[in-house]
Amino acid sequence: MSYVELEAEAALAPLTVSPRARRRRLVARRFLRRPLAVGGLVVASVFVLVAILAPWVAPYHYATTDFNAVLEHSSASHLLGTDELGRDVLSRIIWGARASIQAGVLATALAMAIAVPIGLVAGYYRGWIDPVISRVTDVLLAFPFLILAVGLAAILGPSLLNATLALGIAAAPQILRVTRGETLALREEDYVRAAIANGASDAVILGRHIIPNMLNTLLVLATVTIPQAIIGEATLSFLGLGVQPPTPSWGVMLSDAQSYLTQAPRLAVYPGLAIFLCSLSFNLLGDGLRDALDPKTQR
Amino acid sequence: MGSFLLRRAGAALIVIWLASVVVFAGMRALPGDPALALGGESRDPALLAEIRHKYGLDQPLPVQYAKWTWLALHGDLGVDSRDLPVAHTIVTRLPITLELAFLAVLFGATLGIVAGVIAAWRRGKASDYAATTVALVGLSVPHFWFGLLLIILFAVKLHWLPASGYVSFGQDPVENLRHLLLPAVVLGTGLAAIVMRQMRSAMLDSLTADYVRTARAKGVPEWRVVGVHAFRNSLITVTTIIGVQLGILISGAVITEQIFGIAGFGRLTIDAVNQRDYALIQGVVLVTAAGYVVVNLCVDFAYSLLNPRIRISGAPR
Repeated sequence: MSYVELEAEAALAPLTVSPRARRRRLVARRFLRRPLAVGGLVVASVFVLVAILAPWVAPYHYATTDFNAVLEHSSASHLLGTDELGRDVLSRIIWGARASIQAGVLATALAMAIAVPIGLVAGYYRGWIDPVISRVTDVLLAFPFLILAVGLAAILGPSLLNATLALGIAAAPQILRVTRGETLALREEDYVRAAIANGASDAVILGRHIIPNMLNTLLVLATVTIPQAIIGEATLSFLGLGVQPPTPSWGVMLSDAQSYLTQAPRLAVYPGLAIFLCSLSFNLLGDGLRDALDPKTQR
Repeated sequence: MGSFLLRRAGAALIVIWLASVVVFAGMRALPGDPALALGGESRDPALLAEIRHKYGLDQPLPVQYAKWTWLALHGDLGVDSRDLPVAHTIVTRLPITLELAFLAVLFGATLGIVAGVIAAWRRGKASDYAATTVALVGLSVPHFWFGLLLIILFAVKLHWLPASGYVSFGQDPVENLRHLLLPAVVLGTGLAAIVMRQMRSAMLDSLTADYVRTARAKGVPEWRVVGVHAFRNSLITVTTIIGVQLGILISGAVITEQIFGIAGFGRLTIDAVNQRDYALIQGVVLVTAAGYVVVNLCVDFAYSLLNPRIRISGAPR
């Protein structure tokens, strides 16, 4: 469907609805037309719900050991079998969702909280502050995301909280760069110039004109940063720099499973499948949101 | 073009210098006294003072930094906790990772470019959907899980390939490739997925461009239109993407080497971090950052060679 058709469709909506609500409804309709995006939303929501409700939905506690049922295949009592200590794999995956979702969401929120204000300042005020901030960003971007996170986690010491902090800080430079670029571009828009000519204060211009016009970009950026942080948490935990045993994390489970690849390869399959599905669902959600929010995309 | 490249090289040098400051400051921010770590179990003040003196830890920070940079510029990165020269350790480990990275790029770029061209050429057909879906899956698969799955299938179940270890190329070229095949596939998969997506969209753009329509109107055979006219111009975008992805390859190498038990540069990084070996961490991180910046600079060079518009106007972007 072309942009013109969409505009026509939007115009047909009842006139009593405000333009903003009409636009929101249009975006929702465009989003719902994409099966992959809807699937991503559903699966991602399931992971978030499971993480929140872990104590109620997990059949066992994550640390309950049963030495009479070690490395068991799946059965009615243990749907995904048990690990080397006789712990229920399904329960550990469900509890492990907590670490992943917590790290994914909090690290992204932290990265946004650091990067967006700094990016706004650099892009809006420019002057001497912009080159300073941009050079520092360049330096931080000179370290690959994961290397930066590994280094920060090493400085902070291994724990879930520190891994989350490290991932959040490591993800900030990319978001900062995008925010700055968007601000620079939006600052040149006619309506911003008009606001300046009208004598609007910086706070009003940023709060009413620049930030609202950037929200779509930031929303999409957040949905693609979350899976990055989820994989990052799993990687740090896999390397021993994140969640510490006995607390379950998908990365720790995979790291433990390495010793049992010959006896029980399934131990390495299920946690990885969880990481994969979780990050895939957020990626699909992000792709779908981007397409639905961007009036230029076809279909 | 000359001034553009000079400016780029100058900016790269500044970034490397600032990165060295960040690395140095970061190491000093680590909790704990490095002398205590180096002294092992000993708490003898005389010994600790001697260690501080030996590693220059008793001098002011700017002096320590100046000394460290001066020596680093001469290829001396100090000695690690086992008294081995850091630069030598890095030089022995780096070729292993470079070979792995080379094979991964070869695999990823070839697969990505071929799949991207086919997907764009057969747009909307089954092969397009298949390639696009596989690429999406490849993007979301975490390295370490994919690696474990390949080990389970090809090493544990089928016994076709070794699960871990490394044999140098000089020692036995066949064994060398057998050991590096799975790691290279693991490391190259993400790259293949990204290259495929970029190649597909670049080809789609090219195939609707005026010069392609002109070529078709002139009666140029279809394979030439797709394979030469559209393909050449799409390669420009993809070259940049591959360059940008090389940095991600460095992180990937850390994980891949950990899973496949390859004693390369990535494994060295993790070992240094786990052993809190400060001199080693400093050296490894500095080399990583410098390598990353130099690679990006090379991409700029390659890009300006491939794209005449930049060469003539001298204006980036």
